[in-house]
Amino acid sequence: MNNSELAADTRIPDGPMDEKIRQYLAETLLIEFGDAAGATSEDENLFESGLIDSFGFVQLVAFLEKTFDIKISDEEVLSDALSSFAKIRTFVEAKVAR
Amino acid sequence: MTATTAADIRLCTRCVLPSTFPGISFDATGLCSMCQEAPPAPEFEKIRGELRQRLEAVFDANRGKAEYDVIVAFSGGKDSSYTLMMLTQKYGLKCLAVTIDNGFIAEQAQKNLRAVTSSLGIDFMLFTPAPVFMNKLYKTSATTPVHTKAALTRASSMCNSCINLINNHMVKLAIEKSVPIIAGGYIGGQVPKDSVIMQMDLDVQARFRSEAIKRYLRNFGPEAESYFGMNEEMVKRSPLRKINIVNPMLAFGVSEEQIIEEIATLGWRKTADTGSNSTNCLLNDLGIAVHYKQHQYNPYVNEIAEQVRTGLMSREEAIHKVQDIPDFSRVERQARAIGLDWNDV
Repeated sequence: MNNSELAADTRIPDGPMDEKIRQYLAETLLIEFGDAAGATSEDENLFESGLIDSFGFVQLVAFLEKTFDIKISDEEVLSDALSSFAKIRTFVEAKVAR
Repeated sequence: MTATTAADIRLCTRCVLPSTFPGISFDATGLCSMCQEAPPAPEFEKIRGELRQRLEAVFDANRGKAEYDVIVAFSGGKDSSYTLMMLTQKYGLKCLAVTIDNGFIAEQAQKNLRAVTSSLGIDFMLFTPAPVFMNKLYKTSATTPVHTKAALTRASSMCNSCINLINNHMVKLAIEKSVPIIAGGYIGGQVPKDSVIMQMDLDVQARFRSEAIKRYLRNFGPEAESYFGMNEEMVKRSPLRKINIVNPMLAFGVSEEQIIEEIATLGWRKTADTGSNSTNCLLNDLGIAVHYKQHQYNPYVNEIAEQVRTGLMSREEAIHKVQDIPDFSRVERQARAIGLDWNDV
């Protein structure tokens, strides 16, 4: 399944935001989502599965803040809000909507 | 699966990143996706100038607040030696140089540790983890997936494990001594682009540590707790809540030749037995050979490509460096030293 096919299956309709996050995770942190063997599911905890380390997390937070012009607080960083692709998407959507 | 041969691998026409590098793509002219987004080389000096200003602001805000202003992760290699020299002489910071002796520091590099710190007149601390543990760490890192894919684009698995141990030791010391800044000698490509200055929140770090330590315990055994763990009570009690992690080399913009020329004034001399990509570690070539066997690209290619992209290294020199992949005969002795069977890689 390629990315565009996968996008059609997601719970929330894809938009540029969804694709930007997906592309960033794939190209910078080398995390591929999908149903193929070895691929990561959108609900998978990226920290527990060892897909993001502390360097990667700092990069991810900086990317989200810059790309979507949002501010992520220390409390939010410490919460589970950014622990999976699905949660990151929900979190950014809510932030952007405010 | 068909094995990738050297002839199948194409290099970016600007920076030398190979087609085997994860996440990379090329346009019709052969330019890699990282170069397509990068500004022309001359513009990097402006970027570095802004980064130096930000660094100076961090130094000014933290100078004189603790026993030391900065803990410098000092390998004795050229980059950390230059970093130490600049922080001490140019920025007037009180530095504590800290070296982890992994058991494979070249003899000349050991002399360099003493020569540089002695010339600069600064305090120097050496920590030697148990060799039996370090050998296990290297051997396991060469044969088992321990690190994220992204981390492996910046350094070999063996180097990543060592770097994480070093980083943890530096954070422990910074907390113990309430030192607000930790400096590394990393150059572009060895660390993420935004890491000239990173504020490390100790609470956030604790969260990652709890996940990372499980992985280290699983891979390296219970002894890993001493090297990758942290006294969490000490962390909670520390008046420091954030530590500034800085990598000044990303802002300096100096070539390898300039660095070597300047640190030579401190008595630093180049090693002859550490391969073409290291100036301190005898195991480095083994890390490269293992990485190449597993991933088909030199683990130094990201940093070398960044040096070319930013105008600090010629493309010809870069090609020479990235294509210098040690064969097994060159690293057999090192493999034996850590009990590594090449067939297990």
